[in-house]
Amino acid sequence: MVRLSFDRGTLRIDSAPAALLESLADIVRFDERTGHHRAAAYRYARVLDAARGQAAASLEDEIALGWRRSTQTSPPALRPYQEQAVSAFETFGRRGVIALPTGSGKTRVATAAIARAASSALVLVPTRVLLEQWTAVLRAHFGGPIGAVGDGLKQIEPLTVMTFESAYRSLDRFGDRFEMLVVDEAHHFSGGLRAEALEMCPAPMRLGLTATPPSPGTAGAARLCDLIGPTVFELEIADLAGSALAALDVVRVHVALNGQERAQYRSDIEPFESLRRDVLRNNPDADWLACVRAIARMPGGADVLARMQRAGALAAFPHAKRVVARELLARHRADRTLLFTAIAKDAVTIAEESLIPVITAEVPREERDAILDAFRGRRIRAIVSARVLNEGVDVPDANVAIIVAGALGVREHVQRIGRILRPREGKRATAYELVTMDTVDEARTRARGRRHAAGRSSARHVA
Amino acid sequence: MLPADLLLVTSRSDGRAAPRYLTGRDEPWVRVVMDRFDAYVGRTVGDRDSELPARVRAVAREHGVSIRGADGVAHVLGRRYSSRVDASQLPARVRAIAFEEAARDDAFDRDAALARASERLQMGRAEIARVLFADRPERRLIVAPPASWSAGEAIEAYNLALVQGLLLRSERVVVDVREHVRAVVRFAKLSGLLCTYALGPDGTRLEVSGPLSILRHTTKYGHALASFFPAVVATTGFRLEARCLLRGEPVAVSIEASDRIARTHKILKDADSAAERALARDVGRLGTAWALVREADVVNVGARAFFPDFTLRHPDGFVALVEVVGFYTPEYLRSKLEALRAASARPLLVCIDETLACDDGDVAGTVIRFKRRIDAGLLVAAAEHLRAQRGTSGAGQRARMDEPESKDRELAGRLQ
Repeated sequence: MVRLSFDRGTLRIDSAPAALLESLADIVRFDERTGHHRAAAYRYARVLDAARGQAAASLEDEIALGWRRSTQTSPPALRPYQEQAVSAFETFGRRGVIALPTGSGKTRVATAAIARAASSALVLVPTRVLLEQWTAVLRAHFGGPIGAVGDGLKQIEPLTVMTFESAYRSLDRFGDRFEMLVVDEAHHFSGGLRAEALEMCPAPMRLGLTATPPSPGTAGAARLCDLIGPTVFELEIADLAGSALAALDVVRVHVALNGQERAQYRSDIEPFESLRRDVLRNNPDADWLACVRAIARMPGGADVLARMQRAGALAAFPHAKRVVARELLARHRADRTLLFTAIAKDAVTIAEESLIPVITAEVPREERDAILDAFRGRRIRAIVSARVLNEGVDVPDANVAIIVAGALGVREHVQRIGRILRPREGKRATAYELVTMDTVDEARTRARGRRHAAGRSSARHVA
Repeated sequence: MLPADLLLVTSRSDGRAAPRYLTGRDEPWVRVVMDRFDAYVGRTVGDRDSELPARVRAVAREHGVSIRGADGVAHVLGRRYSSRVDASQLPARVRAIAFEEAARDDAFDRDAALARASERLQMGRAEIARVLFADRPERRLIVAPPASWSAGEAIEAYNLALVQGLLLRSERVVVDVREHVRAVVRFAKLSGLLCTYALGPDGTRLEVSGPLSILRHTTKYGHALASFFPAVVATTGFRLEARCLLRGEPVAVSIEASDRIARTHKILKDADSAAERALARDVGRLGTAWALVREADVVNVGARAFFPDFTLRHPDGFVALVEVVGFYTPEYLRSKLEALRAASARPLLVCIDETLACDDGDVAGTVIRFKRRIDAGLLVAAAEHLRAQRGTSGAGQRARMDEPESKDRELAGRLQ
């Protein structure tokens, strides 16, 4: 009798016939340490399928025995595209990624998918804020207690919400309790170490949610497909802006470095550019990262890279951007504005100058909640942030985004714009992108491409 | 533990690598780096972080030592200093009031907003501006560590961080442990690691790895291996061999007890250690060829590991396990006797406190009864008897210990 059980984040396979093991040779290994066959836990569905195919009458599946059902009370009502997303997920065997823009109701889609599966489910979230938000949403739609793990909480129930960090630490112990795994902001797992958390969970039903799936054909897309499933449904901002999302105007504001800044910028960037040209001469195919790595290994390379970073920081937040940010804040004083900088230090500079709250990773939860609450209650008019507000934080009804600078490319940009797209009757959102001409800042903006260009676009130059 | 780019090793052609430890020769420049750090006490974290790296590198250049080595020392030292907020009122409160006042006006008026906030907070406008973000990490003031280090202590801490940085990138370690085997195993199991063992002439050889290591390297268990290492360092005479993945290349690294590594953990003695220590002393005083060794052996009992309190070793290789059944609850005793019965395939001496009403028939092996203190002469005589009966045996056993820590509670209960 083939026996499948969960052992410290892995799938333990006992008494498997040779033919079964042979068919799973790419994912199953014999573990001499313990005398069992073993696979990563997330291979459970495939191992189970293979075992059922070969040993239908004699399979003992200890993992499934431990699952409990969730208690459903009131599944959420869905818009047509949300209904399509859930159907697509189900059509693909409840294994896949749903890509929808921020503000278009990913949580609602996942809640419906969980309700329709009526299974135990674990929801993984990147932040403590999302832990609270998800717990509240599940509580509104399901009977019985809702578990939460992370931020000091450790309660496991058939429906549980867990932070990525807690999952990484504890799914080797609890990963087998859930038949369904929902991964919010799933793009985080397209690379990096924390992806090991998903490997430790055998849940056969796996749903990923993201506003920014990795590009098809990339290593990140392949990794996400392996850990969760393929992208089964995708809509972009352009598909929904003006209907399910607010209409959007994108205004690009070009600024220039002043004389002193330009001299400083050139002096800092030139050694890097020079070495980069040398690298490219020897290796024309080297991408940016390869160049940086090659330079890091050169004598004095670390200093060159440090100066290059200083030049990048200057281009991200020169004097002209400070002035424009101030002007835009004044112009939109009656609106609800979010500002985004590349780094926390620049966010604090704007906060001190314009006396608006800043939300960065260091701001404690109580203060962050108080700031968001004051923003909702219109007791403050704007919030500046570096990365924390990129995703996850529920900021209702902001209608102006001032993107002073970005650091993380297309994904970050789409998420930031998504912050102001929550629909409201008659709402028209405006996103300003501040770009420093003839610097790496301009190159970064170009590299972001046109993915977000959903509404009317215009450009303005500031000397 | 040091990050990947600061790990210094000397690679050899045979696929082995030796950690480049700092030694006594490095003390002068390490002292200078420590002085540079101390000079920032009372200044802001931001000042230190922006200025100190260049100063540390300058020290390295002056002394002709590795820049990365100096960066590594700075990494270790930097973690010793804490920081504090320099503010007369809570910055979060000052912010809340200042920002709320600033949002009141239809047209932004910074001066008017600060004036109103000043009134509400009863503090000057300049002070408001200073305190507003005084709790930002870079604006906090550096506080000296509670105890000062010698350069030698800094070097040992650096060497520990270097080894842990290497182990973070390892998938499997083999450790020869001469004492405190169960405590070391417990540390490993608490971290979710798998242990297997083999008995050797000088103690126990543990092979420690993460459950997934047969499939691929995982960072989660690299962390566990690195965190488990201080337990190994707390034992005397250990030797550790690790397979690491450094910059994409697999290398073997050896660490030994004689390496100059900081000992940050101390393995606490068992509750009954006084009686056990007295026994070890008494056996030594007999002047026989027998040696009594604490906790050097592990016996596999079904899925559970059993650690006899001692082994009595004869120079000819004969080994008798010695278990002292002392002051425990009836439940513990029952479980212990069960384990002893299962272990009886190996020469075993059981010392039972006469105050415990325990029938000899319950226990496999030779039973020695004692009141308060075990008679060392009787114990050695019993071992001689077993040796005469059963001949030489004991080395080379290999077994599995694959139960997670949670199923090993009564064992763990004795390890405090």
